Amino acid sequence: MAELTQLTLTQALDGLRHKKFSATELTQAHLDTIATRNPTLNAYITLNAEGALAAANAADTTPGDGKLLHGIPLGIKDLFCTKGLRSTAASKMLENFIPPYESQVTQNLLDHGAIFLGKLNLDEFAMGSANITSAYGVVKSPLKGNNDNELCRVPGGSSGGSAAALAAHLCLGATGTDTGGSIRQPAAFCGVVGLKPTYGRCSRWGIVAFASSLDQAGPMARTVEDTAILMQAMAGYDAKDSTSVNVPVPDYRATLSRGVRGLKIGIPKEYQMDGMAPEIVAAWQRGEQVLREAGAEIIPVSLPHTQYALACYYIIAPAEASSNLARYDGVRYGLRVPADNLNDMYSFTRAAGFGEEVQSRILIGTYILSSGYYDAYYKKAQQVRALIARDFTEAFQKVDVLLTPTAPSEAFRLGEKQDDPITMYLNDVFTVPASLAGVPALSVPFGLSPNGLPLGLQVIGRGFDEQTVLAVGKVLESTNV
Amino acid sequence: MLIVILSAAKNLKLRKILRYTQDDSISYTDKGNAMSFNESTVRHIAKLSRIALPETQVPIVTERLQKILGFVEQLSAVDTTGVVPMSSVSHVTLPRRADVVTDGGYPEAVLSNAPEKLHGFYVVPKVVG
Repeated sequence: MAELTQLTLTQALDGLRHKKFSATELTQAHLDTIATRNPTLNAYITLNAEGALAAANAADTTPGDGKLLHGIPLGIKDLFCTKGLRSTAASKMLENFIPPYESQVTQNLLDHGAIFLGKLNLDEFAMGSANITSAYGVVKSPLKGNNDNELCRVPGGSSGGSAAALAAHLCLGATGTDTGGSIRQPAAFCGVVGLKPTYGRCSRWGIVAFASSLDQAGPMARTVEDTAILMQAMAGYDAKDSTSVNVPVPDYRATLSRGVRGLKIGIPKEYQMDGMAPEIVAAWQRGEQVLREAGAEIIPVSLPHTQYALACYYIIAPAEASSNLARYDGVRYGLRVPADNLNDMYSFTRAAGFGEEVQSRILIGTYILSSGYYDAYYKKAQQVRALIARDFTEAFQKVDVLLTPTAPSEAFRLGEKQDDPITMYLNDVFTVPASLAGVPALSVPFGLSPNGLPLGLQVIGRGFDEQTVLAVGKVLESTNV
Repeated sequence: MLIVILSAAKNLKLRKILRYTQDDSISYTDKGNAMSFNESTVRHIAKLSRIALPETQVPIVTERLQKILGFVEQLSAVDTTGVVPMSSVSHVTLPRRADVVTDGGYPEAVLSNAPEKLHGFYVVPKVVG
């Protein structure tokens, strides 16, 4: 029944509703595909085969009334705590960590009848842009360029397992998290859709924290409509997350096909950067053309502080990470390297449990927050962040959404861009500004590079206006060739 | 091995804070500048971060972190006079909750991932002389 994995999430819901197949058949088809392909791709860290089949059986024997995802098999990024199911954050530090509770977002998905196939690979603690920092091995993109003899492309990161699993049909939908582009950049690299919602739209409770003022959970899927359905199930106020915002969640699917006629689409001139691949520029211009032809008005805008966003991010994110990751001390959960005294136990545990990139960011963050440097780095970055956010506020007085590329290139090869941390960080140059401003942003596949690899366009919207972002994405998707 | 059993994470946190203030009272005289960031800075921040960094790694890590600091240094070009630092994108004020117990009562679940436990407590190496 491998053809069941070829369905979109929307088609699968329809098939289940009309009893064309059962949730058990649908789940088994995915487990079979995972068994065949995951050994090569390494998209899943932990499989939940038994649990998934039990949940599928339950879905087949109970009515799905009102549930948005009744009987739908999903992959869950291994940054979400799942009760009774190992949750590693792709780190050795949490190799044996079995959460005694469920994250709020995954609980929302379970309440809507979703089935969890397993836990998806990522960069360690979501720190990376190529899914090469996982303690459980790199993830390979299932996509090949025209001249690639074998699978050699990165899936992007940090939600690389989620994007690769979707592209290889190892799940119908997936969760991701995005701190500086971790949903959008892998979505672009793997030719799938990814939405970073407005900060505060989805609960962060039970998600392993990286940089708390930026972290946001969001949906990833193969179509914009699938993404909207997942978003509907994931979003909502949660009193357990003090930054969760108590505003009504609209019906995302209802407004999905309303088109772009009369919408004002901003093209920020600062996103035209030196050294951008020509195919990225071409896709961006074609996207502009498609929206204009669909009735939108294209307006050039300026976000003058864009060039400082990456530097700002690489101060704020490590600073918050160094604080968040202080909890991994070998005392209450996670790895412990025994030692004669407490201090050595901390130091040995953290040296053994964290990989190179994570250690780097903790060290930088500790330096930035240390006495005498706080004002020069952290406070300065928070001031620049305010200016970046103000750029967006001012732009959104003139336009309804912004259209930009998602990433500065197609998916690169494993082993590339690893000589220097800054080269890797530059992957996030177009995604980081929206993260700093907290506004929603969608990556939608749009065209192919000359190598035959997918490219993505990014639609950035006003805070809590995911509806417009999705509607614009839907128009771009409908013309994607 | 002598053990000290701590009844709550709060105690542990307090002890850690005490140790930090005893051990790490080195103050900086030079202000933020990537050039002054050297191997001895790395050894010091590794100690503050409680990461045992092998001496052979120090030059490699120093070079890597210098590159990152050199990159973020560009922010000094931005005029931020009078700009209020932004600590959160949420415009809502942080909610207050009623001061009542809403959760708990399952010590087994709380301790289920403990690397070492005894009689319902976390076990750590000896911390007082």
